[in-house]
Amino acid sequence: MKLKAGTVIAIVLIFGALAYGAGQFVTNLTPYVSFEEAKASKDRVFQVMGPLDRSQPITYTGVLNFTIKEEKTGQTLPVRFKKSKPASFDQATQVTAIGSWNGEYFEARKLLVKCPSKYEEEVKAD
Amino acid sequence: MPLGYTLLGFALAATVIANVLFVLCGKADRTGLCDWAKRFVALATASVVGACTYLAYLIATHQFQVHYVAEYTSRRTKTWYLMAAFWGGQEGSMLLWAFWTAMLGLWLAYKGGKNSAKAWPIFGIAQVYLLSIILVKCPFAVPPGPIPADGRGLNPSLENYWMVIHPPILFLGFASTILPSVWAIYGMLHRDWDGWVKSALPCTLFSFATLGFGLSLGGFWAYETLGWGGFWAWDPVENTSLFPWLLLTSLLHGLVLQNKNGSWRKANFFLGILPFAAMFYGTFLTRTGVLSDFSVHSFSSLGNDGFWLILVGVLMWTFIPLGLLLLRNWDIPKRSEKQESAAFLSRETGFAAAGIILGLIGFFVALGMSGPLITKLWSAKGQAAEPEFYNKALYAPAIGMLLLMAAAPFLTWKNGDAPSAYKKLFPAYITAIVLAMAFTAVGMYLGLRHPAMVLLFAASLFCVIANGILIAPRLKSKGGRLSIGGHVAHAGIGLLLAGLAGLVMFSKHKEGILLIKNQPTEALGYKLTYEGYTMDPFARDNAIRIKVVDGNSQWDADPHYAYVPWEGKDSPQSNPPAIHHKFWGDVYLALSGEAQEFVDQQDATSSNWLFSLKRGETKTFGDYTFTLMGYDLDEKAKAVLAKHSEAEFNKLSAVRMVANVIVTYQGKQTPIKVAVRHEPSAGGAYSEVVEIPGPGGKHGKVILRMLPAPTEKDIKEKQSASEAAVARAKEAGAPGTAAFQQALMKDFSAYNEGRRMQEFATYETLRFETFNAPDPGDAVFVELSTKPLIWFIWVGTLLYTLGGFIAYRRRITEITGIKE
Repeated sequence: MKLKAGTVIAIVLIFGALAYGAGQFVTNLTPYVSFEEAKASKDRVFQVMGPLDRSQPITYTGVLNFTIKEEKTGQTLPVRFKKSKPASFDQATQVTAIGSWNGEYFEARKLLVKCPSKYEEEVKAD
Repeated sequence: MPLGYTLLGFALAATVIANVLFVLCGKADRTGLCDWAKRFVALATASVVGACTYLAYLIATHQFQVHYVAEYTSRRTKTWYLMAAFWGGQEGSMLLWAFWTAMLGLWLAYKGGKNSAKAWPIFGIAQVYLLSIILVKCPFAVPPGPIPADGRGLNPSLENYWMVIHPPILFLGFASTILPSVWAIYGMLHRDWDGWVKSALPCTLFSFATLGFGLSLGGFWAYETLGWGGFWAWDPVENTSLFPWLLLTSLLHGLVLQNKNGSWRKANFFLGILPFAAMFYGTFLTRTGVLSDFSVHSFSSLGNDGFWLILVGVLMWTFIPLGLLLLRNWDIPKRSEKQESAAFLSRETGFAAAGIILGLIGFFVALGMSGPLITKLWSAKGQAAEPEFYNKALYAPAIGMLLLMAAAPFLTWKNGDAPSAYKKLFPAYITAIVLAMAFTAVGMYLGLRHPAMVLLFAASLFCVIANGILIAPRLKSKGGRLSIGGHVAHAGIGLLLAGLAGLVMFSKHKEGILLIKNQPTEALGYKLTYEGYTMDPFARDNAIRIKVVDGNSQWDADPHYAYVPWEGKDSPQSNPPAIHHKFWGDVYLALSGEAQEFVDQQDATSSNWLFSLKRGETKTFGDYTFTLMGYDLDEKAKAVLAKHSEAEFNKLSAVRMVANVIVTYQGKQTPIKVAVRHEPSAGGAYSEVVEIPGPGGKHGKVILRMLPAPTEKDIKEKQSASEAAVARAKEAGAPGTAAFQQALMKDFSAYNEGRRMQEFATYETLRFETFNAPDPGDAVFVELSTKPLIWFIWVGTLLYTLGGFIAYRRRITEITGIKE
C-alpha cells in the first residue's frame, strides 16, 4: 500500500493544524468584562458594554470621546475612539467597545452601536 | 393578511401531499403516482410564488395595516427600493429563501434525474420546515389597532441598488445548499453509495458558484456603498455565508475524487450532510439574537418560537443525517479491489489534500464565528474571537492551499508523473519568484510592514500563473473550454489572495481629516479642498464636493451626504463614499459623518421653533398656527389607558400612534397626520418627519417632527454643559470671529445638545420642531485611504464564480450524456 505513508502524514498534519487553530482561537479571544476588570489590567484587550451616558460631554473632533455607564454598578467609563464616528452614534443607546484601558481612557479600536429602534441595522466602526 | 396565510398554508399542504405521493410511488414504482406527486410539487411552488407576488403587491400598494409593510416601507420609498424592502427585513428574507427553495424543488422534481422521486421527500421535509418557520414569523401578520398613515420606511443605508441585486443571488446560493445535502441523505437512506455523487456534483458546483458570487457581491456592495472602508470584516453575517461555501468547496473536491475512483465514500457522506446543516446553523447565529452583543449586523430576534424552531432545525439537519451515517457506517463498502491505488504524487492525493485543507479552513471559520457560544461554556458572558484569529489561523492553510492549487493540477491521475509535472510547472515558479521579488522591492521602497504577505503574494502569483499555463492551450477547442472550470476558479482564488496581500501591504489610511471650506489640506500626499454641497442637503443624491489634487491629475470626489428622514429624524446619511478608480488601485474618500454639527451651528441662528403642544392646545409662531387635535391609539394602548393611569401608559413600550395636527399657514388650514412611535424605554417618542406648507428656507422645505424626550436631569446637565461650552468659546474670541468658531467646534456636541433639550414628553404633550433646510456646513471630517490592486480581488471573485459555472456545465453535460 503506497498510500499508507501519505495517510499517516495527512493525519499528523490535520491534528497539527487543529491544535494550531485551537491555540490561535484561545489566544485571540476578547473577554467581556466589567468596567472594574477592564481598568484593572492595563493594555489588555477587552470588550465592555453599557448605555451611553448622555450626562457626560460627547465630543467629536476627529477623535470621538464619550462615556458609558455600567447598568449594574452605575460606574462610568470614559471611552476614546480615534476613528470616524459611527453614522448613527447620535441615536445610540447602548455601546459595545473593544479595546484596552490606558490609565486615562478606554482606548476603543472597534465600536458596536445599538440604536433605540431595536431595528436590525447596527452600525459598524473599526 | 388571510390570503397570504392561505397561500403559504396551501404550499405547506401541497408539499406534504407531494411527499406522501413520492414515498408511495417510490415503493410501488407506479409512474402515475409520481406524475401526481410532481403536480403537487408544482402546486406548492406556484403557491409560494403566489405568496411572494402577494407580498410584493401589498408593498407596492402601501398596505400599511400589514406590520411588515409598515415596518420596512413608506410612501416616500422609491419603487426600486420597494423591491429591496421585500427582503429588507427578517420575515421577507425568509420568504425569499422559501421562494428559491420552492424553485429548486420544482427543478429537482422535474429535472433531477431518475432518482429524484426518492430524493424529493427529503427535500420536502426541509421545505415543510421552512414554510412552518415563515408561518410562525409571517410577513403577512396584521397587528390590531389603527392603520398607520405611513410606514416607517426602509433603513436609508439599505436604499441602494446593490440591495436590489445582491440578496436574491445570495439567497439562491443559501437555498441551493440543500441539494447536495438532500442527495447525500438519499444516498445513505437508499444505499446508493456512488450513484448520488453523479447527481450531487453539479448541484454542489451550482451552489458553489452562486453562493460564491453572492459573497463577492456582498463584499463589493459593502466596499462601494457602506463607507466603512473595507469589503470583509469577519463578521458573523459574512462568516455564515463563507463557512458553508468552504464546506461546499471541500465537498466538491471529495465528490470529484469519488466520481473518479470510488474513494472517499464515507467522507463524502459526512461532507455532504454539512452544507445545509451549516446554513441552518448560520441562520441560528444571525437570526435569533444569540450574537446580538457581538455582531455588527445582528438581525433582530425572530422571537422565542423562531428561536426554538431554528435551533431544532439545526439539530435535526445535523444529527439525524449523522445518526444515519453512523447506522450505515459498517454497510458502506470500501472501494472495489479492482481499482488500483494511486501513487502518492498523483492528482488523487491533490484532490484529497484539497478536500482536507478546505474542510480545515471551514472548521476554523466555524470555530471563530462560534466563539461567543463556545466560550460561554467557561465564561458567563461569552467572548468573541478577534479578526486577528482568522488572519493568523488561516494564513498557513492559505499558503498550503495556493501551492496545492498550483502544483496538483499538473499531476496526472494514478501514476502522477511527477518529473514531467515539475518541468511544466517550472516557468510558473520562476515567474512567480521574479514577480514576488519585484513586489518585495517595491514594498521595501514604500516601507515593508507585513513581510508575511510577501510569501502570500508569491504563492498567489504562482497559483495564478500555473493555472494560466493550463488554461491557455485548452481555449482552442470546445471540449477543452468546458474542462477549464477548476483552473479558472483556482486562478481566481489566487488573484483574490494576491490582491489581499497587496492591500494589506500597501494600503494607506488616514482618518479624522478636518477640511475647512475652501482651505486646501494635505493628506497622504493628496491635496483636498472642500468646496461645499453639490445640491440641496435634503435631496437624496446630495454629495459633498471635494477637489482632490494628486500631482498633475485632479478629480472631484463626491462622498454622499444627505438628510434622510428615518426614525423620526432627518438623519444624516454619509454613504456611499467617493471612490476614484485608477489602474494601480482606488483612492477612497469617505465622510466621517460629522458635517451636520457644523450645519446645526448655522441652524442655531435661523428662525426655527421648538415647542410643545398639549392635546387641544393651539400655538402661533410667525405665519403659523399649530393645533394638536388628538391621537389615534392602537387597541393595546387604549385598553391600558382605560384601565390605568397615564404613568402606566408611559411605561408601555413601542406603542404606535398617529398625532393629528392642524397647521394653519397664512389663513389656510391643513390637517397633518404624524405617525409617532412612543417608546419610553428609548427615551421617549420618535415621529416621522412630515413636510408642512410654507415658503421654506433656502431649500424650499419646512419640516415638522416630534422629538425624543430626555429626562429632567439630562436637560439640566446638558444645558449647563452647553452654556459652559459657549463661555469657553467666548474666552477664545468674540462671537462671530474665527477663533470663537474654532473653539466652539471643539465642544460642539455639548453646545448643540444643550440647545436641543426639551421637557419630558408624555402622550399628552408632544414636542415639535420645525426647521428650514440648513445651509451647507463650514467644515467636514473625512477619511482617506488608498486601495492598491483592489481590482485583483473583484476579478478574482468573478473568475472563481465563472470557473464554478463552467465546471457545472461540464458535469451537467456528463449527466445528461449518461441519461441518453
